[in-house]
Amino acid sequence: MRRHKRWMPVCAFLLTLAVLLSACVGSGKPAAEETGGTKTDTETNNAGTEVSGKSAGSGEQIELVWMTRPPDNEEQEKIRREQVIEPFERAYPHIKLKLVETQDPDMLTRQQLAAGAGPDIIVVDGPTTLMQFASAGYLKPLDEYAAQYGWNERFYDWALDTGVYEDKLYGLPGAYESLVVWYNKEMFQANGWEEPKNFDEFMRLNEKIQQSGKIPFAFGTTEFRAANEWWLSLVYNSYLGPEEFKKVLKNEVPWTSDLIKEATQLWVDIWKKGYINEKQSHAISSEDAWYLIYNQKAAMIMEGTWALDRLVTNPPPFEMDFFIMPGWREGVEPTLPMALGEAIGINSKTKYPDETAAFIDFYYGMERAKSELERGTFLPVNGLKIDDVQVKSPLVKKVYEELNQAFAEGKTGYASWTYWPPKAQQFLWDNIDAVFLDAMTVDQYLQKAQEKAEEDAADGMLFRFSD
Amino acid sequence: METWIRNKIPANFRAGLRSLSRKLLPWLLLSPTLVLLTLVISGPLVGTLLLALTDWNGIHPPNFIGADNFVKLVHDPVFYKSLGNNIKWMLFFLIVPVIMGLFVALWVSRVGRGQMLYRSLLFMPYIVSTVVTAKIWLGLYNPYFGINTVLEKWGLGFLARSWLGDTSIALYAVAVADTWHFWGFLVVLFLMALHQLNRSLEEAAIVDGANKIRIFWHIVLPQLRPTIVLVYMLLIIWSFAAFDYVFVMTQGGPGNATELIATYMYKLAIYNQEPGYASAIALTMGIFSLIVILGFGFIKKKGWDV
Repeated sequence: MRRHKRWMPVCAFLLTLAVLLSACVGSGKPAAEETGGTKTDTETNNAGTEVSGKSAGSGEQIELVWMTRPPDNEEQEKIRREQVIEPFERAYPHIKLKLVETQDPDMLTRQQLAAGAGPDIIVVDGPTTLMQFASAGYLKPLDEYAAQYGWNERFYDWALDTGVYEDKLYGLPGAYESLVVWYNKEMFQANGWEEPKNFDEFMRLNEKIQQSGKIPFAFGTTEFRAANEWWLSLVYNSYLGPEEFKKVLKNEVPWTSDLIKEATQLWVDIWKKGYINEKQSHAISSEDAWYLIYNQKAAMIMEGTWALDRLVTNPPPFEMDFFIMPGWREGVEPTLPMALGEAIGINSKTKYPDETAAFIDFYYGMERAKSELERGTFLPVNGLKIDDVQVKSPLVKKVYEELNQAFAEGKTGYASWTYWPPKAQQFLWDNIDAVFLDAMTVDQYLQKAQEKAEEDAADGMLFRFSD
Repeated sequence: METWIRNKIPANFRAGLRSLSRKLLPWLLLSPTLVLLTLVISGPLVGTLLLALTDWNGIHPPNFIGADNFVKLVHDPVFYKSLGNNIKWMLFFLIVPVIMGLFVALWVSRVGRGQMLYRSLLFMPYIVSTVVTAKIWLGLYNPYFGINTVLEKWGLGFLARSWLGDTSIALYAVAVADTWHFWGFLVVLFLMALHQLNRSLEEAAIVDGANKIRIFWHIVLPQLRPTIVLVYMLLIIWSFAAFDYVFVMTQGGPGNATELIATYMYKLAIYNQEPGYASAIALTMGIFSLIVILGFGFIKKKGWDV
C-alpha cells in the first residue's frame, strides 16, 4: 500500500497532463467540421431550388452551428423555436441546427474566427463587423448562392449593397431600423402640444413640456453608454442632412468642420437646458428612462423603431405615437437615419457551405419576413406588403409606411452602427458626456474624433458607399 | 527482495537514492500545479507580451510595431485619468472598509451571545453576486426613486446629489457600493485574527491600568499587524484589478470620471478593437502589481512580521 502511495504523485501528474492535453485537442476547426457527417438527400428550399449537397457526402445527419443572442423573453424563444428551427429542420431533415446563445455573439465569433474556428452561420450586429470579417478572409463569397436563390431580386438594393466587399457579396442584410421620437399622445392632446414641424417648434415644444413640470425627453445610458450614438446619429443627420453628412463619413469633410461643430454645440446646449432627462441621462439606465415614460413623468423618448417590440408586447396604459425629427437647420428635410440591426454570412471554413446557404435563405425568406413584420421588425425584402399580414398594433403599420415613404423620397440618413467609422463612432458616444459636463470642449471632442476617423481610414474601415 | 536489494546495493548509494527521492518528491507533488501554472498563466502572459508589441485589431494578422504601444500609453490622457482613479479607488479602500471592518470586528469579538448571527449578517453581502449588488445600488442612486427621494421626504433635500451623474463624486459612489459588498470579508478576516490574540498581554495591561485606547494601540494593533499588512497587500492589488462595479454601474462614465485601468483596457480591447494596445496597458499594470508584491517581500525581509 505504501509503495502504491509513492506512485500517487506520478499518477496525479500524468493524469493532469493527460487532461490538459486532451483539453488542447479538438478545437481549431469550424464547428461543423467537428461534428462530421454527410448527407445524401437533396431537398427543395423556400425558393424552389435544391440544396446541391456538393459539400456533404451521403448517409448521415449534419449539424450547423448558429451562434446568436438569447431571446429576450419566452415569447421570442417560442417564436425562434416554432418559426425558425423546427420548420427549417422539417424542410431539411438531414440538417440539425445547433443553437449557441451568447450575449455577445460579435465578440465570441471574432475570437473564434481569429483562432481558425467559429460557427458555420455567422450572425453579427450589422454589416460593419461583417465587412471586417470579409476583409480578413473569414467569410465565403455568396455570389453563387445569390444567383441560385435569387437574393439580388429579393433584397432592397441599398441593404444588399452593405454586404458587398471588393465587388463580392459576403453578407445578407437583417432587419432595418431607424430613430424616431416616441411620445405620449394623450399627454400631448391634454396639453395642446403638437408634433414639431421645424427646429424652432421643436425647441418651443421642449420649453413648454419643461414648464409644465414634465421631462421633455427620457433618456438613460448608465448600463449602455453606446445609447449616446442614437442621439448622435439623429443630431448629425438632422443638422447636416444626409448628403453633407455622407461627406464626413467618407472623410471628404473633417469631423472638425463648422457644420459638425454647430450641430454638436446645439445638442450640448439642448442637454444643458435639461430637455434631455434633466441633465441626468448619464445617471440613469435606459430602463429607467422607459419607466419615466410609462409613469408619465416624461413626455417623449427618442429611440429606435425597435421600441415597437416593447410597445406591442407591453403597451403603456395610454396611447403612444411617434414623429420624425424635423430638420435642425434651414433647408434640411426631416431625415430618418437608417441602419441594419443584423447581418449574416457563411464561415469560409465551414464544411457545409451549401447547407449554411440554405439556412440563411430560409432565415431571410418571405415567410419569416412576414411573421417578423407582424411584430414590427422589418426585413429589407422586396414584395413584402403590410396588408398581407396581421400586424399587432396600428403603430407597426404607421412606422412601416413612414420608413418606406422616407426610402421612396430619399429622406434617409446614416445611423452610426452601420455607416460610421468604428473607432470614431466609439469615441464619440463614449465621450459626449465629458462635453456635457464641461470636462472637454466641443473642439477637443471633434479633434479627437477626427484623429480616430483618420485611423479608421488608414485601417480601411470607412463605409464603402456605393455610387 | 528488500533484503536482497539491501545486500547488493551499497549503503552510500542507497543513502544517495533516498536523498534524491526526498529532493524529487516535493517537485513531483508540485508538478500538476506547475504544469497548470505554466499552461494557464505563462501562456497568456507570453501571449500578452507578444500582443503588446503588435497593432493587432483582433481580426487581421498582427503587425510588429515594437514599443509603439508603450509610447502611445505615455501620451494617453485617458490612461493617466484611469490611473489616477485607480489610485483614488485604492486609497478609499485602504481607509474606509479597513477602518469599518476593524472596528466592527472589535465590537463583534466582544459580543458573547449571538456572535455567529452578527458574523453571518455582516458576511451576507459578500455572497451576493456583484451584478445583483450593483443593480441594487443603481436603484438606490437613481435620482427619481432612490435615496434622494428619501432624503427629500426627511427634509434633507440639500444632501441629495446626482450620485452617479456628478463627476466629482461618481467614483466614490461606486466605491461605496463595492465597499458594502466587500467589507464583511474584512470583518471576518479581522475577527479570525482577533481570536488568535494573546489575551494574557491584554490582561497584564489592564492590571497595569492601561485604558482601552492604549490597549488597542499598544497591544491589539501590533498583534494584528500581519493581518493588516496582508489585507493591505490584497487591497492594493485588487484595487488595480477593480472592474465589475464600475462596468455594471457607470461603464467608466460620466466623461471618464469613473474610468479605471481595467475598464479602459476592456473598452480598448472589445469596443475599440485595439487588443494590442490593451495588452501593453495590461503588462504595465502587471509590472506595477509585481512591484507591490516585491515591496511587501522587501518589508518582510527587513523584519516586519508579514
